[in-house]
Amino acid sequence: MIELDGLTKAYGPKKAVDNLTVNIQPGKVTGFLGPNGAGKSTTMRMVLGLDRTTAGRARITGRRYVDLVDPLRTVGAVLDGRAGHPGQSARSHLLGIARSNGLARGRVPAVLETVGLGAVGNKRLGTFSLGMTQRLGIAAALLGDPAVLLLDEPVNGLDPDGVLWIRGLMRSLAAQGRTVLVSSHLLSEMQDTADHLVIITRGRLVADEPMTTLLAKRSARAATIRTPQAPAFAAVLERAGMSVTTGADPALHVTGEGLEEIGALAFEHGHQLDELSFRRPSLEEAYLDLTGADLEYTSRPVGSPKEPT
Amino acid sequence: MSSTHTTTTPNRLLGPPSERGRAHRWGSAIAFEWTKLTGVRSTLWLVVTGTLLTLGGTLLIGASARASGENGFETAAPAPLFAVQTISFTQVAVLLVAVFAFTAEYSSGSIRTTLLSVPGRGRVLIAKSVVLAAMSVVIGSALVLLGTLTAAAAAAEYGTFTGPQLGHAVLGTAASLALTSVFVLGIAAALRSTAGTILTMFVVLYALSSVLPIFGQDWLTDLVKYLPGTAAGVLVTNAADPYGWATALAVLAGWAGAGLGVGYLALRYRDI
Repeated sequence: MIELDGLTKAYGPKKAVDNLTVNIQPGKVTGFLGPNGAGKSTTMRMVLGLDRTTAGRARITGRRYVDLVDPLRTVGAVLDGRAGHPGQSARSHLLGIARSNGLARGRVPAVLETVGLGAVGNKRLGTFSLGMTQRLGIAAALLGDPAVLLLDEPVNGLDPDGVLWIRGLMRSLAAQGRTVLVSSHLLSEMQDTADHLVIITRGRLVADEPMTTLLAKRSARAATIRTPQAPAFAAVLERAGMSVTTGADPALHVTGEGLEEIGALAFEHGHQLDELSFRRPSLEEAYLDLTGADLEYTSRPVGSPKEPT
Repeated sequence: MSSTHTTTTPNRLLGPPSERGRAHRWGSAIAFEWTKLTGVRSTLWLVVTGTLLTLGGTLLIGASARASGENGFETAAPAPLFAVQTISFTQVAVLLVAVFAFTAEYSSGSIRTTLLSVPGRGRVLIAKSVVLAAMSVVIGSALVLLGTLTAAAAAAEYGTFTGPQLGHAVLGTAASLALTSVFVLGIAAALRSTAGTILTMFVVLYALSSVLPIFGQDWLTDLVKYLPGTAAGVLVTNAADPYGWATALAVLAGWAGAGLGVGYLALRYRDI
């Protein structure tokens, strides 16, 4: 369990993280979302004792990170970027970390196997690709078999194979009862992985809800129907309280309450359906709804270059 | 690349939190720093290069003393003094190891791995100091011993020495290397950049002693006495000028302590 209690980080008058109060529960993958510069990484660094807090507290299993004895036995973290000396081998890098927390030497080959780097343990870190570096970071995080994991953009630089693997890894770690907090800017990735979402913009909390609740509230459901009797069936649906627009092809696009009744209505009124598809609720839509008005760095369309005056 | 990664899923149960006492943390932090320092090749290359230059230089100085002596010049001196004259090569090598012990962590980002593993920043600094000081003592003593033997062989009767002379040279060199490298380590922790640290190191250790007297102010000239280079010189050569070895040890320890203090304050209050 990770507890944030009024966590605040100010750089002068600007608050990068503003009075954030959230509990991250064990047994779930919690996605940590927000636009660039929203304060996700700063929050994670404060939890890990790397950045000083301006106000508030961050505790892991009831203690501040700096107060944990052998912290790697409780917390594993994957931060962006290189984590070791480029001249050191992967094995030596992990062995040093294991020694620092009194972990058994045998954990080093074990985690190297787990992340798929078993064959390159003797290669120096400077020769590693971005994806291999990312895997090594995950190996270091798993070294102490921790109950709490924090991952900052863990899929950066991974190939599709690696992305699939890390999704499975996070799911299985959470299923074992661990607390898994993962930040990402890949919404589709998050939608497939996270059980719970914490969303911040400009350092402030805007959502702390289960994925299903958030999607139900923020992403309108919609159905697409293809039928030879489109105008007649559209009238049926409208009488049932749904709103229908006719597309070009000519398909019917239906929104509103009672979409699950469509099949029954077609059967009841004797309409033939060639297609009935429900759009998957979209995290992207929910996310933009929550954060769209509050983007720190909003983009504008590219205009023609201005003449110097 | 993907074909080379065969991955498995960890199926262990939740590990127990640490049952080790807090006292173990110091030993673990030192073992960590030792692994990092010895795990990179640059440390080995620096030490080997410094050793070869020192021993080569000692051989030349010894041979030169003998040649001059045979031609009637007054150049005889105890062999340990020949040995310590070339210790600068080793000193520079050891000091560069001290610089990189911190600056390489900042430039590679591994400082975050270090602080995640050992969150006590003072403990990280002390652990690095212990490892560096131990390395300095071993290398310094070994080189003075080897250098003395080399110089004695090359200088023959113009390099005769006594046991206490050798003992002073060994202990003095070991102490001076250890304390100077701890001073540099503290500066590196505070400044973070390799270039900035090396520049500061050369100014304080080497340049100031020749620059300060230029101004002709007595107090500036007096200050030179208390620079780390002067104190290190007293320790290494067992000279009695400008003060004895005890004062020299105190002066150099003061610099090491000041360096560590500055490094600690910077580490303590900095976001990594």
